[in-house]
Amino acid sequence: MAENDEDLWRNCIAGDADAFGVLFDRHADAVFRYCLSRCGSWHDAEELVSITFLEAWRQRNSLRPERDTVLPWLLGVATNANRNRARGSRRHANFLSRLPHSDPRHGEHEADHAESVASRLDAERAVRELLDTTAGLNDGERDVVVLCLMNGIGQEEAAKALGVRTGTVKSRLHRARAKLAAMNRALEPVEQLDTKIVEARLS
Amino acid sequence: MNLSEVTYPKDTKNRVQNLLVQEVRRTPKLFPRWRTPAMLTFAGLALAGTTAAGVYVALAPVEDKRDIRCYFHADLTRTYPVLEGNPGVTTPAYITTGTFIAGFDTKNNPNPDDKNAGMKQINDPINQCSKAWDLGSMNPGGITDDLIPDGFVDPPQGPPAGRIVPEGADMDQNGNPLWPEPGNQAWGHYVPFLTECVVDNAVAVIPGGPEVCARLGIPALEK
Repeated sequence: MAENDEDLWRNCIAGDADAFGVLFDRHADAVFRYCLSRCGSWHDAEELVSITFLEAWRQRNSLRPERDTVLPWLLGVATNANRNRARGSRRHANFLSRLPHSDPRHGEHEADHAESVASRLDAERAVRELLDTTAGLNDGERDVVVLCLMNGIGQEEAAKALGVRTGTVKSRLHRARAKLAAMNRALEPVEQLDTKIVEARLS
Repeated sequence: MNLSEVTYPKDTKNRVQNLLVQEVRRTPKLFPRWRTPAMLTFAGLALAGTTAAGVYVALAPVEDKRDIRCYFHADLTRTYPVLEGNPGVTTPAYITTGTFIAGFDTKNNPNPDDKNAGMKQINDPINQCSKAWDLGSMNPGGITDDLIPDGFVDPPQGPPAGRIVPEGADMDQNGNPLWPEPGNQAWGHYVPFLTECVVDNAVAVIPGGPEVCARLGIPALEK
């Protein structure tokens, strides 16, 4: 039977690299989606995933997993890693220079043929369009929109990821929705959208 | 595009996983305690004994919440100069706030030794101190300018009716209104994220995230 995150993390703290590998395998997809939705670049998202896990390992003593999952905490690390990407890239430059990429546009070996370049470009374009939609939000509001609406993370987990209270997430979401609705009203002559449609596009 | 269908390409993921595992294997293990010389271990145990109280009282209740301390920074001892005509005079690390009971007769105070007589119990210290921040009382002489993020626009001077405050500035971090009374409007000064801790058996509302109480070595407020 697979170990839960809490047990695996305890092993990580004791220095068990294999346990860390299992956690990576378990959460890399969710972290990758989140990173992609933060930066809008497939290549950067792949780097950000690695920076996130390296930072998570570096900070492993500061985590006490709750509810048997480390994902909210990893998303919080990813949020900070994205904000401090330049610093993270410098800190882990040696590792990143060895990092394989699946994006052939960057001259790397195309590791996975199942995903076409076209679909990645499509994903990047779609994410950037969504991020453009959030241009009128402040950082805190954008954080909760990306976590809750784009990535389907629950409000409590988003609160843990961001280190704020659940009530703060709720109020930020409320304000973000109001702003999105106002922006859509302004766009009406060009594009008939209401908040629900924007949220559907984001989800 | 459905974001939920996007996955980290499997082959790349496996290779990155291997690289990461190799990388973290190279980092030294944290504390090989069982190899620590006995003398150091005993010293550590003695030290842990002296700090054990700090660990076990991570949460503490406060029964009397009439007097709420709002700290300027996540620093319990820092003092600040009183700028206006009082060279050398300093103000403490916090201001105390409270709410008077309407109609309380100070001349007929039944508890003259009670320094907080006539004050209400404050049910929401975060909201209480958020008001002080919103009013600008927590930034005299710009002493907390360092907490204000770049791009934050200070409210313009002038009568309340002429002020336009940012959307959401009328609520605290928990979504509770700062000034629910009709006709009252938020001032729009910067309000940082606040956390309730306990200092000297009083509620201390300190700028910072939930970890700030532990970082300062004081208990968080037990609800």
